[in-house]
Amino acid sequence: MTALNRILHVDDDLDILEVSKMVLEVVGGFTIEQCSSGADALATVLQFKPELILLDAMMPRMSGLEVLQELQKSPDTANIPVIFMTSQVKPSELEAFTAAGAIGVITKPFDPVELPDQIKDLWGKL
Amino acid sequence: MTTKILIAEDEGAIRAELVECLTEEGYECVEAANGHQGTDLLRRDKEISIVLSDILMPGKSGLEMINTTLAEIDKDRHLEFIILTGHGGVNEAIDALRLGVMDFLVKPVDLERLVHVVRRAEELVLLKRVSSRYEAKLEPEVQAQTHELETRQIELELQNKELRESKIEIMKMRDLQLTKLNATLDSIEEPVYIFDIDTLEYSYVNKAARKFSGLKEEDYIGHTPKELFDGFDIQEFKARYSGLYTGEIKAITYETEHLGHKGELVPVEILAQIIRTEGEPSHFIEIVRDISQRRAIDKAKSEFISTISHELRTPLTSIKGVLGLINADAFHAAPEKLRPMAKIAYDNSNRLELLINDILDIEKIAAGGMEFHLNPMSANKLILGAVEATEEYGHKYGVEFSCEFGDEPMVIDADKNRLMQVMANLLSNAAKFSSNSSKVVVSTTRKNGNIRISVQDYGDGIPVVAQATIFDRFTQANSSDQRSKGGTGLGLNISKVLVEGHGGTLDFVSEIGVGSTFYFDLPSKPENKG
Repeated sequence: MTALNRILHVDDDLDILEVSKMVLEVVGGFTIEQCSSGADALATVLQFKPELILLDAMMPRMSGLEVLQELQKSPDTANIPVIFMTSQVKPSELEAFTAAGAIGVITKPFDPVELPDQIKDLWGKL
Repeated sequence: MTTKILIAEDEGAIRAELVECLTEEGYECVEAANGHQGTDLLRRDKEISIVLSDILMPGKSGLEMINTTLAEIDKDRHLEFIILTGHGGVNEAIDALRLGVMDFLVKPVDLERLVHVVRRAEELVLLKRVSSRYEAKLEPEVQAQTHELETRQIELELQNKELRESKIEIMKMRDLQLTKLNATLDSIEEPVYIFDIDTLEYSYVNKAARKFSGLKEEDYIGHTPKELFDGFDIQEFKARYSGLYTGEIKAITYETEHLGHKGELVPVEILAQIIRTEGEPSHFIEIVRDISQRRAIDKAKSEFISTISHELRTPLTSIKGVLGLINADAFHAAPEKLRPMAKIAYDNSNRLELLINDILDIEKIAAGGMEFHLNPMSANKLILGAVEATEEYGHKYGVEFSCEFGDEPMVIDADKNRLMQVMANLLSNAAKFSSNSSKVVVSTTRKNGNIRISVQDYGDGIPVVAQATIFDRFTQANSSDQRSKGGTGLGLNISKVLVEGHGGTLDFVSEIGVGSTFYFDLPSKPENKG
């Protein structure tokens, strides 16, 4: 498994996007591209060609699960690992994300210092 | 006194023989040659007590004499008649016996038998005299008692009448009460059912019950729930109501679903208890409450809390992220004086996150929505994981965790995440309330076929006054602890429910100045499954 570098982060909350960008770039040393909606993400993914997608579960218009389903439809994007980021904490809800094909779930609010390591751990398990 | 005998016999020789015989036997005899003389003697001489008379005599026969005498005789004079009859005089003898004659002798008279019969007559007279005397003596007493009995009878009849009237009055009142009760029960907006505890036959259903199901009163009365409702399970019913049958509990409340008048299933809460009336069969009374609205409110509340917690998490993610970066000095640019402030802000953002998580858990518990996915696992392994995750937290308080268990894995059925939550809570509590530089001992032991997991600290111990409420929500032993030690005061309450969800009980022992041990027992599983 090669070292993780390119991450596409999708979240409708701009503050979270900004904080995460700092965390992932400064602490994690990743190359980050960000989108604030599912549609934007689907358009960006082909250009940016991320190695991993961090996907917010609850977004207006197109939810994280719907974005994942769209990604899975295209052979170009179907194999990109997805980690969900969610405020939902019910075990059944978390299980639904992995059942849909996500490689992991990180619950919000996340610890900024630990977030890069959490992502690397899940990447390392692939 | 010598017994006097009248001998009435027209034949002088026979009369003389009889007189001689009886005189020798000590009797005094007077003689009559016919019925007239005999009657005359009997009227005059009241001392005659036995009459020995021939039947056929000139002028007036013996039977006529007896008839006349019996008609005239005083009731307190006792006379016994013996008649003499010739061969073939059987019919006369029978007539005489019907008149009340004591016995008869056949001529020629056997003197020995004569004496025997006369003695019996004498005894009979004596007995009658004694009996008369007793009767005379007893009569006033009998009369008095009769009078008393009659009086008592009148009284009893009066009492009986009063009782009858009172019973009628009671029945009228009962009817009235029953009418009132029915009217009251009918005015209740919730369905009420009354049915026999043995046969389960309905004896009453109120208006609301009939409206609820769309059935008529006659559909219910005398019929059982099994006859009316397809889904009724008698075994389940008996099991649920067993406590009421045995009298162990007075009332039960439970939630179920009832068939509504449109054929829809309506969620209901049932309050059931037994009505026991002396001398009458016992009945169940059920009051049924439609809880559709309550369920809807609960659902809305649950969704609201879920949404709120999500909405709180979103801004908290940014706050915690920024504060975390400053606190970790990720940019190496934080002024020295700002760092303690950033730490306080960061710690409190963590506390806020815990509080949101705990509130969500409490809501799930209240709504009965806490899910448990039990799997066999090693308690020791789980504890090691929990200790590892909490180790750093312990260091903040200068506390080291020490695990004391053997090599056997101690297999239990557990929901890993939930039990980790319990352990994290117990371990962090133990660390928070330990003395600095002390240790917290985590152990697993076997106890009555269960596995006991204990977390022991060497802190100040829990004051006795605080022990009773330690598992209540928003409780800490010392109210200032919430600020100085952090925590929401919900952890132990949640942990207790989580342990109960595993079929165990969370408990503790504590001694001031010595420390506290929190422990719970979980059923042990065979090790080969672990």
